[in-house]
Amino acid sequence: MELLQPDILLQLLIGGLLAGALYALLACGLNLVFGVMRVINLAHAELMLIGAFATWVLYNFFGLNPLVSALFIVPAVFVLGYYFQRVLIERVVDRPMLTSLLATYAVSIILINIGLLVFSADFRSVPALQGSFVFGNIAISEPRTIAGVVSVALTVGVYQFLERTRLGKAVRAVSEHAQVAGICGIDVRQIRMLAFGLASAMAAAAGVMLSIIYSFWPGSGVDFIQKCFAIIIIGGMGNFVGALYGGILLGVVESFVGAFISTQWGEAMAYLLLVTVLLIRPTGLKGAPRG
Amino acid sequence: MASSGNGRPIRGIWPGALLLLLALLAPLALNQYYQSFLLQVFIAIALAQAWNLISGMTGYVSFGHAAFFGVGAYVGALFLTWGVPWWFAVFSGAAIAALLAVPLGMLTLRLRGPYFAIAMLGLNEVGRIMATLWVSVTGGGSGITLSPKLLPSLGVEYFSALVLAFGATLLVARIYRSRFGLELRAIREDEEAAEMMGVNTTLNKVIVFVLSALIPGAVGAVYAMYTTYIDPDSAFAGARNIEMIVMVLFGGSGTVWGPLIGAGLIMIMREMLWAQFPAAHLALLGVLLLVVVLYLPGGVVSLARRQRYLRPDARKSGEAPPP
Amino acid sequence: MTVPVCDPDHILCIWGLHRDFGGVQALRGVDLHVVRGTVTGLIGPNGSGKTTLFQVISGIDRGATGTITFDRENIIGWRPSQIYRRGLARTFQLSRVFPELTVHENLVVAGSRKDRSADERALGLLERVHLREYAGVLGKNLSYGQQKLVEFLRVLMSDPALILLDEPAAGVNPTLRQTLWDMVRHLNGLGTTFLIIEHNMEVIADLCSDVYVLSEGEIIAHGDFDSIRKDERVLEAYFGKSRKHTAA
Repeated sequence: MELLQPDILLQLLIGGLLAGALYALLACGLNLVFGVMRVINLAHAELMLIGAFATWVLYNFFGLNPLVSALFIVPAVFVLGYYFQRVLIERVVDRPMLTSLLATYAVSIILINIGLLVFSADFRSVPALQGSFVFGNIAISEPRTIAGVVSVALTVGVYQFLERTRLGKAVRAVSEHAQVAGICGIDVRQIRMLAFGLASAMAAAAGVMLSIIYSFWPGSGVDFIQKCFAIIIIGGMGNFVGALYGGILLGVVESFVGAFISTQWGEAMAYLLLVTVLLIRPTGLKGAPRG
Repeated sequence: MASSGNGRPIRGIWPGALLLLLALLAPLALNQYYQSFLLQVFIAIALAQAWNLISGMTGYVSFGHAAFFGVGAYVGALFLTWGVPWWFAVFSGAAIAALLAVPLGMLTLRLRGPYFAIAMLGLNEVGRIMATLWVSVTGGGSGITLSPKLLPSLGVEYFSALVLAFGATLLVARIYRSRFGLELRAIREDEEAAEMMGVNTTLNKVIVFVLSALIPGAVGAVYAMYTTYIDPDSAFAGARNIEMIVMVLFGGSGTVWGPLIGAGLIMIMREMLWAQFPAAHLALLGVLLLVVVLYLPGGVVSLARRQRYLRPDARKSGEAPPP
Repeated sequence: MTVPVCDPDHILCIWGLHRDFGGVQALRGVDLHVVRGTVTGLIGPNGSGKTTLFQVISGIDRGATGTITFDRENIIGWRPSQIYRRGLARTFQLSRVFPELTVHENLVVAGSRKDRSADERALGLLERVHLREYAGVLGKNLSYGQQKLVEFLRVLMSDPALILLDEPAAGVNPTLRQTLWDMVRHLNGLGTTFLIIEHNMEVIADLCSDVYVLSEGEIIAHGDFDSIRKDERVLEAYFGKSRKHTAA
């Protein structure tokens, strides 16, 4: 096969890593919410799309560079997520997981269709960054590189936040055992709101990155949420690092399958992986067994 | 009122019979437009009851169940292009959907609640992707067009849909009152405890899963006959998935009348909105679902039931009953 | 390794039962025999492994090693539903009544499918505990004590030979509690064997002809209540080694 040349393989690998970084950023956010409050947020991908569409709007109406827009969008969505948690999710944290699944499913439907009403089903993109970096025989597109690097940086940043800072440790404490954390004086509710805000901000950031490399429409979230599930189940639900590796793994697998078989089969990988892993190990391949 | 084995009286026999009678007579009074509308309502009712079986009654909430409808639609359409009689096509749609449900069910029903829901979430999309990729069989993106010569009249399609809707509702009612239904509901309430009480949870779950796939399979084939053209997007429409879920939850999940009422009301709402504003219709469904999940988990039907099944001493006085 | 033969008088024989939870040894070589037709008590301080033992016997926990013989059959590895149908039933510490099913339905579902008279039997049982009028009430609308009572009735539906009761009276008010113990006595008189986890020593003294004491996963004493009461090891397990503190 003409594909089996080192240069091409390397290109596929790098492409996969960069794409995977984006998935990881998104999946880690979803995982964070699950870890802290045992809620599966089916509207997570739509939060990402809010970031993507916001970037598009700012680019087309104000000519703002996406990276600059991110500085406004990400904090804004953080606040949005924070209050969204307070108003809505708090009501379902104590209920069985299916309740929160249905509730967030409803929210995702609402968001997607509001998106359709406002933006229609046309594909949008933000071609703000062009060009590629060339190393010998390998060409990597600039937008993909930036998206990948920023995604990794943010994901690692959040990880450091969780590991090193006091607030981050409080978040982790609530993930491990909310009741005990509460007794130790941690305001569990605040932490939940913070975590959701953070996860939303991560999703929005992923959305900004998304907008510069892919074209998207309000319905794009459906694919992404599936991929997130595949990732967090492979990596272990609630396991932050697991989701990071899982995301990158998925990106690479997709890249290779897409090249060797077909792009559509590459797209289907997430579904297949998800069902396979769910059946083999509902607790994921890495990470501690959880609920 | 007639009584059933487990002590609950059978309500709704007369209203049900009345509705059936009206539905049977409707084609005499209504024009094609309204007949078509009712046909779609029947399809919705059948789908809702099927979803109700696995998700409402057994508690295994399936987020991608519309996939079986899509399978039925394609199977039905294909068989029709090969010249089989229409009823055979419908039967095949049901049979193939049921056959697929067996291994699928045995694999996914092992997963607990939320994981089952997630596993099923992508099923509809998988169906759509496969329909797009398997060009040799499904015609890929171009879909399958059915020439009118192969199809029965609107009247026949109408009655098929009616029979399926009525049959599905009857099936749910029958199961609800049966030992099988009792075991399903026990599984929903507490699967482990049910297992402890001697209930064969695995067998029960697979049977109900297959039943819940069989009905959409048949209905899908009828749909294909009715629309004369199907493609991946119409057969595996995400909207149908959403409607199935919201109709049942809004009406009252796990009950006999709930899906019926939910389907009816939402189809009426859809009729008013869809043509002009499909996105608005779905957004409203989302809002409806959210409201139901947060404030009215038992659905519309629970509004009527509020007063029943309270403790005898709770009803006698206004004070709190003794422990 | 030869498996000792279970005495025909013993309905339940347990030998060398070990259960490890990755480092924590919940059960260490438990040997326990329940004589047919008795009410046998199982006591011990919190965390000694009593509920774990029940989980293993009833088949929910399949991770133990050792031998469990019920009515002459080795039931290790059996599924809970199989064990139940064989005639060994149990109740749970926290009520697991089906909340959205009526009391009547709660009982009927626990009976065998082939039992034509399940409806009447359920009503009959309710009658005995004066809950007949609650037949149509949803499980979730019952008081906690009533739920525990219904749960107890539920296991009676299949006419088990041996019933494991896990703190059946915990959280139940005195009146209902008395009803419960009266039923245990009555059924025992008719031949049903009971193995009961209880903390209330009066009940144990009153009801049980045979008592096992479990501490930290091991059986440390066995006999009638009077001898248990005076056993050094038992006192140690409950009150700790140092006698100096007992004066405080």
